[in-house]
Amino acid sequence: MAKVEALIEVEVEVDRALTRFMAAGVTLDAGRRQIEEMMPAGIAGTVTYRPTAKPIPMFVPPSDFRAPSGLEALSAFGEPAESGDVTSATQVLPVQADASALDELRARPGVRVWPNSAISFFPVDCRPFRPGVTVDEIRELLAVERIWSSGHRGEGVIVGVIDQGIDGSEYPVTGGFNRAGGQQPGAAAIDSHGSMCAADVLVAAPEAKLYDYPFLVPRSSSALAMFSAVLEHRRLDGTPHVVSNSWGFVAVPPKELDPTNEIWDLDHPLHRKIREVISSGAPVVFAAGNCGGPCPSGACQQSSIGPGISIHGSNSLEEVITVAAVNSAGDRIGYSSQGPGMFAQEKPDVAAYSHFFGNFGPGRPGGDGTPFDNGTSAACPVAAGVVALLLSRFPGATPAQLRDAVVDGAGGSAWSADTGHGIVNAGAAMELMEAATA
Amino acid sequence: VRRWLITVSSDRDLEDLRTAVAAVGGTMADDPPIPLGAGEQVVEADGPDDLRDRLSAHPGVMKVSPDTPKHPFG
Repeated sequence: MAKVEALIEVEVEVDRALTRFMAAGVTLDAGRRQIEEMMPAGIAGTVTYRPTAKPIPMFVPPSDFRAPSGLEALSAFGEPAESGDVTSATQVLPVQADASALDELRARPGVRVWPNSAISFFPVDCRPFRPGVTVDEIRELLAVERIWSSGHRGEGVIVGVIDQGIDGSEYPVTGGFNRAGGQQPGAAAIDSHGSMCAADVLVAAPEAKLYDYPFLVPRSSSALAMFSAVLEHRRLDGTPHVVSNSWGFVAVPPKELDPTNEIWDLDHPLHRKIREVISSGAPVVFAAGNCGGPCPSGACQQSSIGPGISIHGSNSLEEVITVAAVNSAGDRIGYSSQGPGMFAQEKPDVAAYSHFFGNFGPGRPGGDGTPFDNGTSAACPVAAGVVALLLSRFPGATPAQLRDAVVDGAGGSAWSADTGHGIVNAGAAMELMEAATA
Repeated sequence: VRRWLITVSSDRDLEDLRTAVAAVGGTMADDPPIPLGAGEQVVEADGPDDLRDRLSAHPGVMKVSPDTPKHPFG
């Protein structure tokens, strides 16, 4: 039978308890011997110990224990001179025990069994970054097979990529937009930022097609024009079905100096145009940004670095899906922008994977001049690809249904400023949508 | 000089608007207007930092917003 990690608290008065605690750490054996001395009788054969385990003295017992509180004695510890050691009221013993033994202990007076829960250190992947992984590993993490096995891989779905242009000779660009005289859809270089985004849409939805909206003049007006083109394309034939955006601001102007800046003004034309596109039935996915701590992008200005000030503008609109970045171990990548968002508070909505060999890396189309696809720029189209995959399985789904499925499928846990409601999981999202439509 | 987005009603005479923008030190772009919602359109312009104030009283100008730079997040 598998043993359970537990903390067993027993009433044991130990004189000079802190001195004895320190002595238990001198050798591995010393700690184990102390635990065995204090362990309640009758369960020795059902309990094991980690090599570093030792008893921890407690001076304030649980309220229903008979032992007196030693709290008063601790007040002397604030003096700038050595205080006398104190007597423990109880001792906490870290053990691994059979569940049946723990049940038996719970029934005993003067014994308390506590969970010994795993604690995450919320590791951050920071410079130098941990190595990249293959697309296949990311697909496994996304649980795409659960949808692929039903015959759906993004077929019939078109994802609009508003970015710096896509290499259409490598990636399946079937349409798009540019102003007269500008770059045509599909005409960008293979090492362009947009080509990376294209590759990353196809991680989850390899049979999706792409519309290329080359965003060569990176200003609000260009973005506004691109979203206007998206709306017109949707009016004509209902495509593109999803829009992916791996761009945004890297500075926050003072509100008093620039009150109508789109970081402050929800009625800015760009925000309104994005809402129009979503109202037309197309989910819009945005990267959270790369201005999180402790290792923000060098492009970020101080006014935009860290929690509460690094997700802003359209990227923090309530209606969009805002995506943070994690590595393949699920660790937040240390530049991923941190919430709360400056418009909607619970931003990012979710995290998705970055730092994998999609367009860039050994043997990949974009070469290895860039070590791997990176940034929340990569995480965003990964999430957009998951949305596309879900749409191929559930063609009539609305932006709100898809957003809810992606968020709830990510765990739906309490929101965190680093990774929102969790990491995108296509399989889990599909099961939620299946349950909702059953 | 900054870049601006000027929102006007969709039936607004844009040549008249161009003249109005020029009169306050700005230059309206030649790009076609972008339709916005029901009955509005957006045009681009270069203009002084206080273009918003200078156009605020102009008939038919609904909003003047900054046209701000964007950065790729990769």
